[in-house]
Amino acid sequence: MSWEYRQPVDSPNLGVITRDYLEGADGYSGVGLSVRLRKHLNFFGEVDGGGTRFLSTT
Amino acid sequence: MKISQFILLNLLLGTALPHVQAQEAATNAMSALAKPASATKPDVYHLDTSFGYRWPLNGDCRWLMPATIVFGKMLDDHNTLDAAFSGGVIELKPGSTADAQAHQPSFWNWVLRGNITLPRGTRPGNPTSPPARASSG
Repeated sequence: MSWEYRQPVDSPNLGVITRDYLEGADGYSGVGLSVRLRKHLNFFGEVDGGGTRFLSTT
Repeated sequence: MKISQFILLNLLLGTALPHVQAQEAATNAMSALAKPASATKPDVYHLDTSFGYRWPLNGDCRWLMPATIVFGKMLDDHNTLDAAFSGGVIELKPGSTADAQAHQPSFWNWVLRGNITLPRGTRPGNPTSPPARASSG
């Protein structure tokens, strides 16, 4: 995930920065349903649930 | 601004797909000229795009809108193994700590996932063979 700071931040290592990013991992599982309405027309819907964990420092 | 970024990302992903299909069609046409017609084979690979809307249950995010492009391989007739690349925009909750410090957040994501499909006719309570007829007398 990346973003832009509203106010520039003075970083000890990088100096003044305006953008930053954070790394993380996520996992999810879901269930979907596919219905064939016509020969060349399918409907598909899916519901997922899961979580995301980010590192504590940028 | 965020909506325009999301639409732009969708357009980029959406235009990538026809290019790949066009290349594949051209390759198939050349090989079809060199070989006699053969029986239709089932698709081994697939390429998809999708769009989503997510509500985080906690944190400072109000919603996320990912756009995804997926390249997958059929493991058998129903199940696939996919590699997906997605990106999108994030709307922060107004007044939250994150919103006070940052704006225009976005995300990019690599995913490796498996899709398990339960084909019609194998669901519990939906036998593939008709029920036995009850006999009388």
